[in-house]
Amino acid sequence: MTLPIGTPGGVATPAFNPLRKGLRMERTPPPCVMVIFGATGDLTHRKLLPALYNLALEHLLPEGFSVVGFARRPLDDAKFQQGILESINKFSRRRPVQPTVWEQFIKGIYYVSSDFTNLEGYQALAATLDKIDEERGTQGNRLFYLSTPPSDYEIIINNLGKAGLAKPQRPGSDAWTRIIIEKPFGHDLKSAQELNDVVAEVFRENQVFRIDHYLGKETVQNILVFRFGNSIFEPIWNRQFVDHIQIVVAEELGVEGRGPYYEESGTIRDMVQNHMMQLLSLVCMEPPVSYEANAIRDEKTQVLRSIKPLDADEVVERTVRGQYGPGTIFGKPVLGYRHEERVNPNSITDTYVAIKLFVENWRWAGVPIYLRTGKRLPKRTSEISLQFKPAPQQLFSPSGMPLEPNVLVLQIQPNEGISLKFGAKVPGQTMNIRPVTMDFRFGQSFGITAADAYERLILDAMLGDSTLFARRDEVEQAWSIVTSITDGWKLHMPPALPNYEAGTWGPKEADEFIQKDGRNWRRL
Amino acid sequence: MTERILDRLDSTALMPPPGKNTYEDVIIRGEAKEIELANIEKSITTLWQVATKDESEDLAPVMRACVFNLVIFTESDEGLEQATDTIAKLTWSYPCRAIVLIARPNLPEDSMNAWISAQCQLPDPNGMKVCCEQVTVEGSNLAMERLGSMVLPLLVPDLPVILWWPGDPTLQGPLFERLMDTSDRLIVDSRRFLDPVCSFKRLAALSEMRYRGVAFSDLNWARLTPWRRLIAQFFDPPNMMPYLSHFEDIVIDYEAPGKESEPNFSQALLLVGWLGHQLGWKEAFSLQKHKYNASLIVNAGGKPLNIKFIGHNDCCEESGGITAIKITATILPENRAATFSIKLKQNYEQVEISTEESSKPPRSRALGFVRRDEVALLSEDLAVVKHDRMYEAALALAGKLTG
Repeated sequence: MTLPIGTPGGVATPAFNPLRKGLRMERTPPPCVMVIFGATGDLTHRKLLPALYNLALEHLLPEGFSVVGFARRPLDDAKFQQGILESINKFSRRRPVQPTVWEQFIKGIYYVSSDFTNLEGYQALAATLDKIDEERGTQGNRLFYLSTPPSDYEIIINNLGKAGLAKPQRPGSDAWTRIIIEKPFGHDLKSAQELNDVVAEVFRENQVFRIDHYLGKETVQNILVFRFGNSIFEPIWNRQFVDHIQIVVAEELGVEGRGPYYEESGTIRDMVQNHMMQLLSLVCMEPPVSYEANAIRDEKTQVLRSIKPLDADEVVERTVRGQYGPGTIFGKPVLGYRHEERVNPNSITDTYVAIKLFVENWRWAGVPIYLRTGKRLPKRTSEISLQFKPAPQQLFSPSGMPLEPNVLVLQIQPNEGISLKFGAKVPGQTMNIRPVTMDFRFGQSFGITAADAYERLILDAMLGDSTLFARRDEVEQAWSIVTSITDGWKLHMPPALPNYEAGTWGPKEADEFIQKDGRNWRRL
Repeated sequence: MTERILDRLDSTALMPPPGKNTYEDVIIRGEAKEIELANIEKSITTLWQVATKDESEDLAPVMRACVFNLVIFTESDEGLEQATDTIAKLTWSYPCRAIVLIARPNLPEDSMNAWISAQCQLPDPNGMKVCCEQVTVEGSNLAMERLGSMVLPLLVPDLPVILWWPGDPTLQGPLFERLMDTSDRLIVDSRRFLDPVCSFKRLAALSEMRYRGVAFSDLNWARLTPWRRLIAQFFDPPNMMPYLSHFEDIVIDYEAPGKESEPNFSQALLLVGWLGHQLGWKEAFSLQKHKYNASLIVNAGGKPLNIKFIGHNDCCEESGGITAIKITATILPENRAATFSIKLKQNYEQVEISTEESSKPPRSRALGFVRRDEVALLSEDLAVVKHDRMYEAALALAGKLTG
């Protein structure tokens, strides 16, 4: 083998590190600094810092990797580090902290205290980053993470621009700057477009990583493998064979102290615009031309473009909203939504929504896609199910009643896996047909604990791989569908709320909603 | 030969405590049952019927799972015990049909016996037990050739066949050849080679010539995974990449316990094979060996590169295991010199990684290091579905460089 040679700086240099080729282990990004805005917040301590520690534990972080926390709270490096230690010990899937790993990890943790509006804080940040580059060899590579309330996004982005911290590359170097932006990305189409405009003034699109942690889940990524890595499913993955699709994201939790946020968002903005639209686009997309970020995102966006926004009448016909009242979950009484902390006692915010959508293209025309999501449902579960059309001849049913249809279920959480329901003869003299389920469970087939979604996504962002992040047009297209529904709701009186008891599967109107189409919700 | 009635599977299991990867608590081992050779498949069916009946006793239902056939050859009771233990642990990630062949020189002429047992895991306390079966066949020296004929009818159809030879493989003979003819992958552990240089050459020849369709793996290669990653990391920054073409000296320290007459430095040889293949090293002067130490000079881009293997007998945990590597490189036109070191410390629980570059302050960091057991290494190898071309290339070059 001969080395691929380039000659930067007059020195014979390989064009890429040949020792990387064929390595069995995960990818390792180049040295960099991650700056977390909102460094004292809940997401940072529950998810981001434990994810970074877990990556360090797996030796997946580069040499010199550093974290700078940026927040209003007046802390010094030591106090910030102490808080991180406590969070990792509390929330990491690999707790307790291993002293050797922590000893190294802590060396690269810094804190800058500043109000997000104060430009001087960003100048102090720039000085800190330069110092880290010098001391820890991070080579000017920066990953900014916006883990703040969305109302702070605009000022942070603008100040990063003003402080000269958003430049894609420094002259004469390969250094990169990227930004991860947490959901919610806007609260309707207009605000999403405005936010995208703000971002675009400071960052190029290839620097922007809009995160939806659902895309970091192994099972969500496996949808693509299942569909496009196997040849037996794609031929039946269309309107000729599929009767309808159900996508369910159910949570047994309530709003968990996030009353003010939830009052603004409701379930439709909190779940449908991002997670459920991502699942829908992955399950309905056409095969991409390659496994490359833009090829996949092109196809996902095409699906969303094929869903026409609903007009006011369609909103009435094709949506159900609900709100939970008091009830019981796992034997424990729980409050109704209106009694939750910092929630308007007369709130008409949706905590449940059922929607019927159509993807109007050759593959899916006429196949209803039912979305169902809510809080305080009996259990936490997310799945996509494709119900197939019945066999054309009822050979084994004397009464002429169709046998139970075949159902293919992609289980996202918990118990990630795939199952197929089909009919089989019960052994005996009579021709009794019973539905049976063929199950594939990730945990049982691979026996490997999947990494947390944030670990995968942060690593991807460091590596510059945006495949599992949403693109501008994708986000705006999802908002155009959701905004058409929320606009439609404004024109009609809401139902009498609350309309479902906590710990049940939602309002009875939702059952009637699907039953009038001659279908039923899958029993979960 | 006798046949005993099968008892139901033992089925008490616990989930491992959070954060622990202990297999022992979740493995449910069925007791091995002796059976008639001709009825092995039938007995396995009975085994599962009995296991399924347990469902009526309010126990976790059983799911039989199999992702490949694993054929293991061993020559001792200790080897059988280790193989059985490994199979049980492996079920956690790779449920399979395991066929263990054991050579018994003391058995009467031409005799063979067989046992079956089940290995189960309960990944989820509310879920199903995932079970797979182990068939053990023992044979006398005279029956060795016929052992191979036992394997073919026992294979689960349409699944890969993996031959794992944990000891020093003969790499020839009727049994080896018969097993190789049905296998998709051969896994060896060069740490156990009695004459690594000779075995590498033979293995490389088999891989390149006779069994090109069979993928070759070596647990010693899996042991190198963290070393390869750490070495590669030195040269990720673009300003460090030029050093790759200017290596001058490499010193590899390895464990050479005094009790071993012939120290096994196959792990270090494989590492050199990998570096050499990736960096385009050509011919080498013959390997010089002196007790625990050895040296080699290779042609690295027209320049001589000195490689030293230094055995330490004042250790050791793992015979042949690398404990340190130091690479020195100088870019002559600019007179830029650098030393890259990786060294195990603190009872091999920590690895210190250092870079010293001329006119720059030295950089050093320490990471946790875990020496993985055989199950973990095997799991890594089994995750590679097809040929590991990088290993096969490293093996080939290691064979060539040693003359």
